[in-house]
Amino acid sequence: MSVRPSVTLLLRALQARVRSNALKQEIVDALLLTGAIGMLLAGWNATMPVSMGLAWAWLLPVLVMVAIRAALRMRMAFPLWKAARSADEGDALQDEMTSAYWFERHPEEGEWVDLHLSRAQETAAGLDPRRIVPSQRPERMGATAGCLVGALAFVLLPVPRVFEPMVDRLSDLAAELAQPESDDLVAELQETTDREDDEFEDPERQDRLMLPEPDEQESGGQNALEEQEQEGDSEAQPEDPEGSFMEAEEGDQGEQDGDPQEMQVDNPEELPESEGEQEPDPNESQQEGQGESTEESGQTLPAGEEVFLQQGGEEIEQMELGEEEVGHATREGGEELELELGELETLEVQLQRELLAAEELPEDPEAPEEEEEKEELVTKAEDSRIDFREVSRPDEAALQELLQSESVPWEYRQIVLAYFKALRERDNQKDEEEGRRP
Amino acid sequence: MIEAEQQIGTFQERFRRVQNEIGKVIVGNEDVIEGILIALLAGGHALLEGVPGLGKTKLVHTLADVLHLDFHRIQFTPDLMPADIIGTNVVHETADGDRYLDFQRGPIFAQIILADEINRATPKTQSALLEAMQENSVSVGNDTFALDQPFLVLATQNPLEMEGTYPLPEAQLDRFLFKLKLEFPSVDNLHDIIDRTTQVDAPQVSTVLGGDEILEMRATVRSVPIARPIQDYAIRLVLATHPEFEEAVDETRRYVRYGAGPRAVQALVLAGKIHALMDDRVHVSADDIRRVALPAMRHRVLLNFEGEADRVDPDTILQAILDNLPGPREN
Repeated sequence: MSVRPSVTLLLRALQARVRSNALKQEIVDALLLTGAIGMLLAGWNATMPVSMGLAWAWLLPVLVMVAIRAALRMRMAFPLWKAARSADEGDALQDEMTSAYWFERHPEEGEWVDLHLSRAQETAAGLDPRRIVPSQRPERMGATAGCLVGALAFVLLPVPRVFEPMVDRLSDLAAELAQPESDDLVAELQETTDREDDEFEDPERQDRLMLPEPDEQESGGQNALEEQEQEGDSEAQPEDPEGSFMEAEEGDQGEQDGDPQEMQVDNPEELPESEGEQEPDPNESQQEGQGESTEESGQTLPAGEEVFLQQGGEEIEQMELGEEEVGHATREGGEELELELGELETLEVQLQRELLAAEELPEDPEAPEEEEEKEELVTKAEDSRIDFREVSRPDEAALQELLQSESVPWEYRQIVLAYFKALRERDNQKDEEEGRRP
Repeated sequence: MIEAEQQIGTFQERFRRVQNEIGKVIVGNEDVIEGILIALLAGGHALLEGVPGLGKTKLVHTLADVLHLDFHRIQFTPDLMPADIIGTNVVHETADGDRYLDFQRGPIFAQIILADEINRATPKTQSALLEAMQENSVSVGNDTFALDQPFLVLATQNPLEMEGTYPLPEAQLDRFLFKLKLEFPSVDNLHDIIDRTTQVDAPQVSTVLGGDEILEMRATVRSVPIARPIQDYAIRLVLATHPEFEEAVDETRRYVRYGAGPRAVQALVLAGKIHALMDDRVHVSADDIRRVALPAMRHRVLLNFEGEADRVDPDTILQAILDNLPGPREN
């Protein structure tokens, strides 16, 4: 039958138009997806550099998947049966194309079937595929255009790399940490910590730091206990180490106006000659100070306590106590502490800051006298009203202040923590030993 | 093809001629008139349902007048016996005194039968029509008598008067191609009815169609091809009335005990072909099937207890099926 190609021709025309519309939609969808990914990559590249390899690694798989999906949908989207149904529904043909398509595929002999197909041919010839399946504008055109324009804008326009300063800052910080100076400081701090540990573990040193023997306590043991309680009182007063330090500094200034640098000595090499002469040999002076303190005053200061005060920034107060209450021996012990301070270069900055802050405070002429009274009050064990257990640790405050200080680099803080931890363990050990005392 | 086109033209012309002639007497109810003609041309029968006074009997009388066919009217009553419909053997006596049995044909031997108020007779009497309606023949004793063609049974029943009635059994109902409901006429139609029946000159109809022409039209109807997807749609439509099939809708599963049978598909296809011819088409569409779905299946859907308790109209279920069943699909 010559009529059959006509119906098929119409159906194929309808099929082509439907597929054309679908293809346009697929292209728009692909562009939308590509534009979105492109905008993402371009925006990423605008803020932080992205390599082209990474960009193509994102784009290529997506494009391949989109192409495969479009091909499959185009292949399976619109069979001729659906074209016949759409023709019938689109032009109210009362299933004429559907019936004719079925009779084309399943030919039957008969006058009525031929008549049916003949009429279907006439109907199909009079149909306009463009009217049945009008050309459709793809959806999401605006979003696609927006994505593409956005991607182009990111690529072409000079978009400031907002994250670049942050990246530079991080790079500088990394470089700063990697500098040799920082390494030297870290090594130096570590070395200092190790040396402190060695000294703490040194038997000779421990002999010096050990508490007096029971026979020595007969003469001075009671005083030593009282002294410790007084020290505890003196330590309990400054909740804020800096504040207590300033009080002590004021008192020192009252006596040591002539030589304020004496309080800033951390390193013996930096001392003036007059003071440097007083302690030509740190070990010798330390031994002398130790001996004098035992002989002249009959009181023994726990060496560990002295070191503790030095490291917590309370060495000045300790020196005051040595001069006023303990006597000359304590003063020479303070000199010994100064020598040890000189070796603790890690806290040099902190100490200098505190000293400078203390110097800026207005001087109160009556303050030294009041301070002396306070110290005298707290030095006497019978006058103390502060329980020994309530005495706060000055090193805790010093530690927190030091760790919260921005001047301490991050890598140093672990070392500082270890340093104070070692001090705390040592103090605990000492407290246990004292607790076992009768 | 020319002959086929001529047949289509003739079919349409004859059909409209009968419609117009009946319309001279019957006001309104065009769908019922069309349904009766479809039943006649499809070789089936029709059950007319309506309250008294709507012109059911008048319609059938008019059809018999329009068609050049034998017409008998049977008033069904509770004491009506099958022999009163089919006929009986009567003893005759000759002049010589010999006696013999002679079959006296009943009113069923006609071409158009009006079974008025068919539900007033007992099921035994109702079943006397079964063979005639399906086989177009009557068996009495050892003799089988063929009925003249075309043969059309038009039964009426009153849906309101239930006392003293016997609802038609399912087998009897299934014999009817269509069940047509006569609606109460509108005001305009009532004016027309009054004008035509209260004046001196009552409308007269003439015979416009004979039995042979009707048989030709029946042949024309059966010549119309139907594509398999459309036929499949008709089948799925019938299957959707069965609650156990996957095509069934929620209403079917809830209210239907048993759905329409294969005769329903036959009715749908034949009636669809007549609609296609009347629409000057030589192919059947799904719309043709939909248009005849209600009259062809409403009396074949048996409601379950819940459906009867809720007084569900089968038309509601069928309309839900028509609304939810997908259209033709590729086979």
